[in-house]
Amino acid sequence: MKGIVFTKFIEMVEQKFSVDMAEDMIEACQLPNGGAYTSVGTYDHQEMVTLLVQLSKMTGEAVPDLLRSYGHYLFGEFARLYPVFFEGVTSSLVFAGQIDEVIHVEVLKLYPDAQLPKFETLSQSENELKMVYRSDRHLGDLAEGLLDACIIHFGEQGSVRLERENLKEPGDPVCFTMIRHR
Amino acid sequence: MLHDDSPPVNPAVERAMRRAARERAARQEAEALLEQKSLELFRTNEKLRLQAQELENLVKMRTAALEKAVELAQSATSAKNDFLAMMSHEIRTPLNGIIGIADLLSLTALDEEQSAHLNLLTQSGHTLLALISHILDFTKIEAGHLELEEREFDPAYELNIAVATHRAMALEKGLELHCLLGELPALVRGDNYRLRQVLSNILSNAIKFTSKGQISLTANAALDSAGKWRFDIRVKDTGIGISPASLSRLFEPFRQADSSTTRKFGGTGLGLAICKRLVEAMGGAIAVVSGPRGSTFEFHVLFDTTTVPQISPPGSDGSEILANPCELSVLLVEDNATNQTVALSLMEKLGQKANLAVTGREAVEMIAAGNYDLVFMDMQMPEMDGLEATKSVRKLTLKKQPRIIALTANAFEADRERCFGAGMDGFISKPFRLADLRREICEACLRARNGGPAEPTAAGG
Repeated sequence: MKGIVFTKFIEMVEQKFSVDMAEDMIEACQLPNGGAYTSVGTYDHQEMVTLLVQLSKMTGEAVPDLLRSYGHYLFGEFARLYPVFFEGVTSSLVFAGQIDEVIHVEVLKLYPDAQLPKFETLSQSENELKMVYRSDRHLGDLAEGLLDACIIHFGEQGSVRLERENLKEPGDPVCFTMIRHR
Repeated sequence: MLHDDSPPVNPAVERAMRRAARERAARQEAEALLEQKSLELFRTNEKLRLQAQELENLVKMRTAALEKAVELAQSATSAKNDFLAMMSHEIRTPLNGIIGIADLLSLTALDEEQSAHLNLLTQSGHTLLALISHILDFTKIEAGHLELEEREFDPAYELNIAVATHRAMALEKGLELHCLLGELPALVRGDNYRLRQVLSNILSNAIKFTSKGQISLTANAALDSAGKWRFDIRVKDTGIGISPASLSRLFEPFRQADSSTTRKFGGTGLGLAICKRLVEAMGGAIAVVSGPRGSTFEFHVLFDTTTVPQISPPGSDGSEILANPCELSVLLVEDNATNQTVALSLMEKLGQKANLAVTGREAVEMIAAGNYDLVFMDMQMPEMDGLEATKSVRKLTLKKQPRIIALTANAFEADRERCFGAGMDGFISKPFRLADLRREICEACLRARNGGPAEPTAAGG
């Protein structure tokens, strides 16, 4: 898993909870590298799970809720760090529809070894986008948080609805549908 | 407890130190990763540089190989052209003898069968000669040695001459031959010999492939936007026509309409290819349309304007020349007895008498004393050759300077240039034909009537 997911996660804990909370979480997890993450490195996905479980224990919030919150935070950071992906894009449906074809292509230029989740578009029209999230990391909740934040980013929280359906298939894919209802 | 005198650690300080240590570790890892990436990039760049170098070497090698191949091909082509030029010259020399002797034989008493055989012999000789001329011409054009000359000439006159010299051939087949000229400039600058060559080729083709009906040549001229005279010339016949399949390759070298045409009508298959290149060299284009009722060859060429732009009256036609030959005073300058006989008897056939000079010196004396319109001048003579004699004649103060036409076995451009350089007006390569003599006599007639080419052609009739 790319280091940026870790560094941004720790940043979020520092901001949403406290710097001390972040330190205690790292200390408690007994991580192999002592929590010294860098965004250009690559780390074991299991360490992320350890961190999440620890944070849940410390805050009393469920892991899925924490992941959704993290999704919101992460999207805000992406928008701040990579404004180029947002140029000329005017709606959440358009942005979400080009994750695989545009955004992940650019990510792979910087990190050829990155293992990215798949956002497979099943159908796309002006008012509806249906896509399936597939990843070995089973971070459907993170994806949900990201998409939700995307809708908010474009100021469409009143007009676009996000629906989620966990598919009963190997790999536990998740089907997301974004519907513009007004 | 006594020996442990370190102060109690503040948990906040401890966290801050841990955090600092973690950040340092993260930075060091990032730096190590960056160094690794840098090294990888360097290696990749190095690999690319080597690949580029290899590719460049490969390109250099291939280019060198190509250059060598081109050089080889060029030297082969040049050798081929030299060979063809030399051969055609070498073949002309014995052919001179064959045609000359055949012409001489025709002047002796022959029975009907002998006469027919001799006729065939002469025709074959002339066909072979035309073939060699075509090959030589085409070889030169292909080698990029086509040089257009520049002189002022009267276009109406050239067109009339071209039609006049083909009239006999048309009449023999019972065909009508018309010449319709629009308003043409009196003088233009360009290569009238090459124009004549194109006209002659197209007209003789039209006559060859037409068994009854008529052939018409129309010509119009207009100034184009670049200030050049554009001549649009059209030769229309009522012949057998050309199939659509054949039309497309008509102007390609070594092609004729079809192989059966070759058998029935003969020819080198080079005539139209040469025409196309000549017309293009003169800034124009040639095209043909054909149907069951005949073919129309259309071409245009560009000529420069001269300082005296004049329009000649339309409708002048050289047709009357053959019907009513004018009285010309002609001198033949030739040292070889055989050639004398051939030339004089051929002129006799045309109804043209001629005086004879056997050396260049004698010719100059006779021209100074007499009043000649036309001189046929051999190039190689003892004592004073044709070039010297012509130069001397041009220095004389005469009531009028005669037209001097060179007679030579050499067919090269350089020889022509030497002739023109010495002040000659025309050029017949040996063995000369009745048609050549007729053409020159016609031309001298037209000039004698009109008082020279610099003035507008008189209206016909």
